[in-house]
Amino acid sequence: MSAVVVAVDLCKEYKQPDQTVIALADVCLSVSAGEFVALSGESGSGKSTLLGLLGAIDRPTRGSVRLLDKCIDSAPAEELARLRREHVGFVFQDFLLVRHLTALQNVRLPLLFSEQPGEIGLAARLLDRFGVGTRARHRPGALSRGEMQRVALARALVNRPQLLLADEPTANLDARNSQVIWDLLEELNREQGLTIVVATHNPELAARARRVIRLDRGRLVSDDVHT
Amino acid sequence: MRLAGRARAIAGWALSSLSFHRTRSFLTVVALGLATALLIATLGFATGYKRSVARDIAAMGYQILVTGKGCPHEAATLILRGGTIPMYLQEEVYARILAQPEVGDATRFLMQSVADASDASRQIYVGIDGRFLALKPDAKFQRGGWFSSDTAAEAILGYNVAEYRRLGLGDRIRVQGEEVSVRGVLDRLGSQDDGMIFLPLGRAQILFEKRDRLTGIGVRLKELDAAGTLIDRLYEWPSVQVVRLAQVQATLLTTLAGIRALLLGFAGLCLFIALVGVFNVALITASERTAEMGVLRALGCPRATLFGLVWSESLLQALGGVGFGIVLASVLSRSAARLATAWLSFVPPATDVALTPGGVALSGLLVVVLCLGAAALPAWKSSVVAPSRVIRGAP
Repeated sequence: MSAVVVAVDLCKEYKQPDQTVIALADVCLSVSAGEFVALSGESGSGKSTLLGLLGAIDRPTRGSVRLLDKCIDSAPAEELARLRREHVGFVFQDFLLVRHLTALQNVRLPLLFSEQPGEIGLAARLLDRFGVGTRARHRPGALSRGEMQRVALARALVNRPQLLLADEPTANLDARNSQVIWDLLEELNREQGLTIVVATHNPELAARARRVIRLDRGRLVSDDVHT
Repeated sequence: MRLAGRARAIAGWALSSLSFHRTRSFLTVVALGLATALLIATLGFATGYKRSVARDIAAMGYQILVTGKGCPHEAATLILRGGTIPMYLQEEVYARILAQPEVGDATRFLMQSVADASDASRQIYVGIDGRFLALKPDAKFQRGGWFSSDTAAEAILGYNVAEYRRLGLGDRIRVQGEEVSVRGVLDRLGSQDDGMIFLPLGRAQILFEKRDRLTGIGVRLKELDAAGTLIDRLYEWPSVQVVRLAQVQATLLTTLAGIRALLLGFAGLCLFIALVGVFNVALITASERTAEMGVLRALGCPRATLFGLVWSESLLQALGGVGFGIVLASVLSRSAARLATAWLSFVPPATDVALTPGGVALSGLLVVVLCLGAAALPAWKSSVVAPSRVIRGAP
């Protein structure tokens, strides 16, 4: 299978006034099309940083990333933005829905700046599919956390991405909602063959993924594929 | 179509954001509206004033005014406004003026301002000769007609006098202790004449004890080009002052220019304060919505679109402010005219705030452009938010 994203010797450092924080050090990995990968590790192990680099949200201090066969290390910011809006879907831990927009408007948001003619009914269908169709006209403030994350998931999928990156999507949810979100991710991977990389510090959920990459203090310490 | 759809979506976004921050948006729109209204009203009043002065002077029917010695501009202004001028011409000057080759027609008048015993107002009486109304291009009788003789105890009423005092033909009014009967009522002229009572010149000279005296002589020229020649000649006459009404108009407009500059300065200050508000609101919006902008960038929103999103909020506020300002200017135009009247020595009675499409468009465009200029920096700051801001732990 072809690689959707390839990282080679990835390093990310944050320079502080008094020290340099190494968030990621010499990480190499390749994610193939259709894979469901769980990034596990303690808080601060570098999972979110790695997701940001894989999804062209951030640039590495050293190393390189190939996303959909394109080297993105030196690509201009607007080219990275184009890659993200056309090929990558993001789900964030804090949902990060726009407060003044309704659930449906939030889901349609990526279509607002997409050059491709968006399918106007897709947003509503995704909300229906994720069980929040009746909440389409509500603003995030009126939604529960579980509902907000399902809206965020619908938003990540509305541009029909090839790669879905989810940063601790269940961290702020109760057990039942965590289960619902994880089930949805597995369903998307199984039925649509969507490539998914999920960061989680929950070992039980991570164990459900076919491939689990473990990070510790910015270093990749294991990369296990379950058969 | 796609572009129109995107523009609609961006406008929808902006509206949604503005309605989410209702109080902030409302106050910004109100401030912009007040500044716009002031700007429109100032420009509109200046236009209205110019029109009214031009109309009043044209309504007089003559181009040159001859008065007794003194400041001719003051005399002309007093005659336009109506009042007693403490300088008089001798009757014989009239015959001499008529004999000048440049003169096409001329009219004599004696103007007196008398305090009304019943209230604090003053009534203007004008003694006129047979040519006075003939020279006025729009003067016509609504009822009745001309005096039976030059010394008859009769009066012709301006439209407003008849209307407010409910006087009709044959009614009697007291002037300087003597009763005179209403002989005619003039149709509305839209000038000071509407508020005046006209008497036969001879009777007015008797009533006001100004025998053989005139307040002024209005001269209509055969050819406008001959004005200079005639005025040069009349300057040589003793006890005579001559002024062109065009000069009076220019003097009045110079006074207006000063007031207009003052009002425009005030409007500019209001606009500046409103723009600081727009800048401030856009800046607050940019800083408190950094996470939101970061999400949009992370989702792939181009910088230009993000700039447009923030800018469109300011554009909508500006358009809302301009719309509100136009309504406000329309509603408050009379009050604005009254306020400005208090600062000017002479304001024609029918002066209003002329809301011309050009003036309104210019004011609106200025406010919108300045508003967009004020919001440009905050919009740019929003557009350059790094998408990595959404990554947890990123500094």
